[in-house]
Amino acid sequence: MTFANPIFLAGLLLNLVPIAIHILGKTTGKPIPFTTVKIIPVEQPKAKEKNFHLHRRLLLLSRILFISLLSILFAGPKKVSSYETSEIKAEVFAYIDNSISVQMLSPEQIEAQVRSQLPEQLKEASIQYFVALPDSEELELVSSIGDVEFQPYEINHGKRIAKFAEYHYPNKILISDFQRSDWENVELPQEINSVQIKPTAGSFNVGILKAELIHEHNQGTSNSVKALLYNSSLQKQEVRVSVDFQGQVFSKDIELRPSQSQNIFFKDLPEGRGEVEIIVDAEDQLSFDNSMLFLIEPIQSHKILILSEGTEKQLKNLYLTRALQAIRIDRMSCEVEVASIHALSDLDLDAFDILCINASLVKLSTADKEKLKTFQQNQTKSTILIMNESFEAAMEIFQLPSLGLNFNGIATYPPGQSTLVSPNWQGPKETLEVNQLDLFYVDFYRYGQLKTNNSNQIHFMLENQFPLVIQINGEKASMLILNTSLDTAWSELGRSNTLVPLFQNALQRWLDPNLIEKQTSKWLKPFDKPHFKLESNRNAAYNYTRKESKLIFINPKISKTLSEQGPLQQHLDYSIIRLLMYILVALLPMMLYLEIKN
Amino acid sequence: MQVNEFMAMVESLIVQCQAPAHARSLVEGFINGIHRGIFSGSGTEFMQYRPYHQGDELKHLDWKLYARVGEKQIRLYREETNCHCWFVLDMSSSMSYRNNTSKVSKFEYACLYIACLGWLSIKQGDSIGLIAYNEKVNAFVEPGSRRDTLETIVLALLKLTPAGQANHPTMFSTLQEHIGNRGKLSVLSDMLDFDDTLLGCFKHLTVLHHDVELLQVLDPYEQDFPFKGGQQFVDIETGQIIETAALEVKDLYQLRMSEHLKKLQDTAIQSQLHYKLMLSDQPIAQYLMAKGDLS
Repeated sequence: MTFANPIFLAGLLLNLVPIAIHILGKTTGKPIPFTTVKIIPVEQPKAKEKNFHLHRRLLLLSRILFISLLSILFAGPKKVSSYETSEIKAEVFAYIDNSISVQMLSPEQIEAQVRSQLPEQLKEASIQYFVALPDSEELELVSSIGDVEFQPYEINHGKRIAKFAEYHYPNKILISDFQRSDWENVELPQEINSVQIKPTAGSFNVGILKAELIHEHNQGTSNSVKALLYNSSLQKQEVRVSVDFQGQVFSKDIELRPSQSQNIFFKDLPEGRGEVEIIVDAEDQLSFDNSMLFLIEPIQSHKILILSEGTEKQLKNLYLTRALQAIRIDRMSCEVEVASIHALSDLDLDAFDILCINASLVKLSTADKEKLKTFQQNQTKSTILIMNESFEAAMEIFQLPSLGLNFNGIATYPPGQSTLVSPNWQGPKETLEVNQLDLFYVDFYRYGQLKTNNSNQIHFMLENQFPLVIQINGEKASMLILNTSLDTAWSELGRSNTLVPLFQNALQRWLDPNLIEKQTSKWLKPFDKPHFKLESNRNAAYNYTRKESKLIFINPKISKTLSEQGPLQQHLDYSIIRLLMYILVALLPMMLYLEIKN
Repeated sequence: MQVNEFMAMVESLIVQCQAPAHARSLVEGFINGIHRGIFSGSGTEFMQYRPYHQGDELKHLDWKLYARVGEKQIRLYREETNCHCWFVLDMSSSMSYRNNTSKVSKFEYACLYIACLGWLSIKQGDSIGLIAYNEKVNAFVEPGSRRDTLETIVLALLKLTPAGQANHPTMFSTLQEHIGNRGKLSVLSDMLDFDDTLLGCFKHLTVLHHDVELLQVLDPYEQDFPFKGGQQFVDIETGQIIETAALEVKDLYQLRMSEHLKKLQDTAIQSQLHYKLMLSDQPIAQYLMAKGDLS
């Protein structure tokens, strides 16, 4: 352990004061004023008793503790890594410029050049390398140049050098090719010697610096691969980059400028799951990895049709934003179409997986009703039905009893205190407290089992006139019925956020269970709050694109950062400070009591 | 503390103990009280007849008796008098002792007792007076039966601070000058330096039909000596310092103290003096009520 301000440890000397007070203080304490001194028998106290005054001992102890704790607290205890104390035995410490241009030489060539420029006595010394991290001012410690991650980013080396200069190590050197112009602005401290890397004839490297796999879900799905190539040589290089996915090879020829990196995109890869291989061919001029593999997961795509009353333009404004927000489920991609309920006869419902109807059904023609019935009877389709009339109308149109389905869920939105009443209930009168139902979906739904009579003639309503959601689950599909007959404001449901969880509920039934198992619990809860988070900006919702990217470095050897093992990072040890504070706080009342008693 | 506050405290104490306001003895006096005087005079309670002698005031002649029997008789009445209650307060510095846990010193306790008993006495029409002394008499209040007198006494008590040593002869000379005939004398002191001579003086007062009550005010520490370990004790009055092992000598001290108290009590009884020990940590009401029971 070290201290931030060790000078304060001198305060420990103050402990001599209470010790002196204890030793020199009268053994019998202060004289006690009394009245009947004449009749007090005189007996010499025993020597042992003279010294033994518990509270005086305690007082001394508490005083010493108090002073010591304060001194240590002011001194600021710090943690020191084990590195400084034992492990580092290197004799040379180097800050190596990890810009791409330094990679024009192989690690062996760099090390050979460095050693050639070291003084004689250090030529065989071991070297530890510090490199800058692009997103942090901390320095990373690596033991060999092979572990150095070369960065394509602009790095402010000036700050890092200043930090490096603070480290108390001998034989500090700076390794760089000094090609960048900003080195001119860096002030090199005296104790750091610079070692310049010089290009040799024909030294260059071309390779993939990193690559990303991009899924874009924006009214459709596309898989893209983005690769960052670099050319650290001093001359142009022509390379051919190929992407191999599911047996298809896509190639591009590009010319890489000297000492620069360059992005290359492969868009619109086919859907599906499989490995993607990226290969760079530069006619044996590569000394680094020139290929990498990705795994593309399949993306599910579904078509949703929203039927409501009104013109198509109105409906787009009303529903589309919310619908697009609803499809923010990972690996789920949806195309949403909006149509008027009156155009139902012209629509091909088989092309859609999920049907959302927010309209009155009783006025529909018999043919349209039959069409809806046929759609619902398909066990793989889902319907979200937001009715403006009674529940019985839906029963009639969709012939729910004939589907062999049971009503297995009810819920209110928002969940609240309400009683479910069924006027046509034939059995004994009973009311159900909605709040007492199953609390599985606490955030939105409150499911519960609901019994029906034999004829299924039921009509539900909630006393507080909240909409009642009834979910009917089929083999794979489900049917969500939102009965809003009592509240005309719900005919504008498309504008409200309620639509989002309804869509998500319908969509989640389509998720591949094999995939779900691999995912976190988030997958099993499509109503998790992050998915509910609604953007106030409509355009943002339109343009929403979900990206899944993966960053893979060429040299993925893990090197520990200084924050984990670094020798030079001394952090105030707050655990000890906190402990000291606790002791101090506990000590104070005891000390005050003893002081008063004394 | 203001006089008013002090009086309020005294009254609340009186209410607490609800001490009956009875005097204990027959005394001579001038102001009508519930004490019965042994001399006939202008009282209201008929005592006896005596034959008329020339020179008697005719207003005392019982004309109805003369008309009925034909004898000239003078009506004699038992005169109701008040009593002079003297409070003699020792204000030597030893009275200022107060242990760490106690709320009041012996002196403050005695003052409070005087105020309470004075209040009761005034209520029943007695006169109260005060003599507070150490080397000299520091406060002297002539007996009076008005509430003003009590306030004067309380004001005087509040101004007093115990100091020095008690000079009992000085107190006695002042007392003898003013005490007059029969009366009641309450001596409040810790009586640590009371000797037979002094008690003899008090005995002399009882011979003169004074009712002398010795109220010894002690701090509980003075009786129990609850000290531990090696301690230094400094005498408040003399400044004498001794060092002793307190716990070891505790038993011996208690023995000596009880002997001292026993001796004092025995001498007081022999001298027909009333003696009472008051501990300053006990509720004052307890002693006031005990006083009520005496009457």
